[in-house]
Amino acid sequence: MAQKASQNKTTKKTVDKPWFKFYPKGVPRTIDYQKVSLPDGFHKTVAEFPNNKALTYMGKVITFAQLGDMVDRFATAMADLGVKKGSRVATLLPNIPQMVIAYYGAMTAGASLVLNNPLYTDRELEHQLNDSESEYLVTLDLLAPRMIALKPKTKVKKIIICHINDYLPFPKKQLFPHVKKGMFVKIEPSPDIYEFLDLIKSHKPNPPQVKIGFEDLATFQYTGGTTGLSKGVMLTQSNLSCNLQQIRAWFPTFERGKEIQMGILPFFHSFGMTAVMNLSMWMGWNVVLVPRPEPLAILEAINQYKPTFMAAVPTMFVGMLRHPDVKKYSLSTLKGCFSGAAPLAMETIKEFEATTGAQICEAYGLSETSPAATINPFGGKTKVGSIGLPIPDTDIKIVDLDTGKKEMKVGEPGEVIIKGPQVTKGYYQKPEETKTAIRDGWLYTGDIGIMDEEGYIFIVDRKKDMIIAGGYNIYPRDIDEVLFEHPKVAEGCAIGVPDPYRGETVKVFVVLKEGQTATAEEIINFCKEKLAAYKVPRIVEFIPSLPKSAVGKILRKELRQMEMEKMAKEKNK
Amino acid sequence: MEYPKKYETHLTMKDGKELFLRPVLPEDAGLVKDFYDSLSERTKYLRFFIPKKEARTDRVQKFATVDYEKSMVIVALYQDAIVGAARYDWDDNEKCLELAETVRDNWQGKGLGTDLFRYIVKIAKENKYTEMTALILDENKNAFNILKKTIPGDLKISYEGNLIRVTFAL
Repeated sequence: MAQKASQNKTTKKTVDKPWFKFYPKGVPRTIDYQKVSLPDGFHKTVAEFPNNKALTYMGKVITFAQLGDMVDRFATAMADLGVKKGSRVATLLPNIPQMVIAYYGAMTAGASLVLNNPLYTDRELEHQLNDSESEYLVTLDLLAPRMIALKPKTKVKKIIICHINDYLPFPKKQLFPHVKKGMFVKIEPSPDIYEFLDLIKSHKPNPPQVKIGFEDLATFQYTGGTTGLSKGVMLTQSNLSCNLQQIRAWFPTFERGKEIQMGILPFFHSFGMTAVMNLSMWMGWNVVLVPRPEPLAILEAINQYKPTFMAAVPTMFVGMLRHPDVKKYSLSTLKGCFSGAAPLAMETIKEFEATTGAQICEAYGLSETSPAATINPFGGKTKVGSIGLPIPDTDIKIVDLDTGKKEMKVGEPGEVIIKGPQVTKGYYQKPEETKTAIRDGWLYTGDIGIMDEEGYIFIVDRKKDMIIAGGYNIYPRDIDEVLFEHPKVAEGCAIGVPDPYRGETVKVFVVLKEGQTATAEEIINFCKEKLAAYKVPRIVEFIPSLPKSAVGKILRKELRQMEMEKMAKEKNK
Repeated sequence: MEYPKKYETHLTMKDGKELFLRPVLPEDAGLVKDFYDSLSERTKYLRFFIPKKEARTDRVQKFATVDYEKSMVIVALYQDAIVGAARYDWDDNEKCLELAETVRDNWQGKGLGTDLFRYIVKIAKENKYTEMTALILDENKNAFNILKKTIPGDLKISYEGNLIRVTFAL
């Protein structure tokens, strides 16, 4: 109904844009948003579909009624532990039921969530926990000993421990600690350390009545930066709620309470959080949780649980197609797929669509846009290499790189800038970076793109120095700084090189100090201690000096060119 | 070429501090090392585009030894310490005169960068150079703003990833 009403308003409210003509049938130009926060939306779904499956986790099924009960118990427990409106609750979890429960539970109690990648090292986590002023941490047991040791260096007061087997069905749950010894860690009881399940069991589902405002801060998404330390993107309830309503509007044929979605994108990442977890919890869909989304695990889950919708990153699509047993699994239940975070090769799209019959819609966005900003029309005209059209209420311009004020002509490259209800208010406690990135309500993405006469956008380059590997953004500077800390290294410089599986991968060039020797393995191991696994360089080359300009500035571009030429030569051999 | 004494000059800052500007001398190596090592990591990053360790003696000696023709370094001295430096070098490969400058952290934001820039541009002109290039990180808005406000003519700008290459006529 809301969409119908909004369509009537379309002619009054929206200025005509070239892309509107290519919106598929049923997609509105503008949306009359339900001003409903994520926890309120979740509770509405629970009331509407109590008996529907909400989560499927390695054989265990949790209905919306059960999930709602757990969320409310967790919210009560968090309030009991001191969580108030605005408290920061950090998570360090893969896609297991506790991630969803902690997210909606802590939010119901009034908290803002600080989402962290479990692959991060202590160095990275210490910064994020401190920067966000997190006081509570919900973590996987495997990481708990490290987090307990890190606690004194942060403001974290209480830690809640989750085990992978907490929600496994009988007898998997009981056998798990014995069968998967390396995947279970028992944490000795101590003050301020709590077991997740104990909190659920010992609290009633009576959370305090906290009024969640639409403009309240919902999450912090940490994103790397060219200036070194990562920045906390502040996303409000409004940003996240509007973005999922925009995505929902883009796929009008997917019905409330009727779909099954794959939960393979990590929920700590904005893409997985919005397009999978939040969308499903809003729509009453069943999410199939796959905590370790490796190709075989994904194929088996699709075959077994028959999902109808899947959001993934290109590396996952490639991994599935390349798996030797792909033909043994039935993937035909999929009706639509959603790909983002990195460019998807045309061959992969065609091959996947031929295998499954499901259309892959390539999308584009950033943590700063909650994240969806453009998507290829589902059931409409798609263009090779395009990231699609701006979604409803999203305005996009291509502007000149020098001033950022002059709009480029059709087909001319420039910086992609975005305006819409999903655009962040800024970076937490970073007014300068916020002022640079958001001007007059427009987010300057640092991506260089072109728009064609029909409003389709193509990303052609990046203004920012960034590597995208396996869907994760990596800032070379992060790696440069770790190399710099190595006692044998005089200078080090990281670049992205093409990789058939990860899209790009990290290569570092290292200049050793005079008289020093080192192996590639030594450099890689050093980086492993200080960087999340996906950022760790895969290739190390020792060189006598880095290419420099006449005045001694490092020319990263030349390193990249040298590498491309070398790869081209090897290919031609 | 001999040390060009004619480029020695005095500069009075807005706050009244007197600076001595002059071409660098090989015996300045120690001062250059102190200057370089005093810079914050961020200032070094904006200058060299990667994190840098402490200055190596051979590198510093090289910096302080120029031919005053294809390479020129002007240092700004305050109470016998270098507080800023501007340099240009002729790049034979790119066939361009490349500029760089650095100001000690606690001297930034006082106009010294602009003064040093104006002065080295004047020297380059006197040495018959007609064009200059600067490579700036996209995030270094201060450097870009100095060029924009100081150069009367058009800036030729091209982007190389996160680097801006700015070329202008002298």
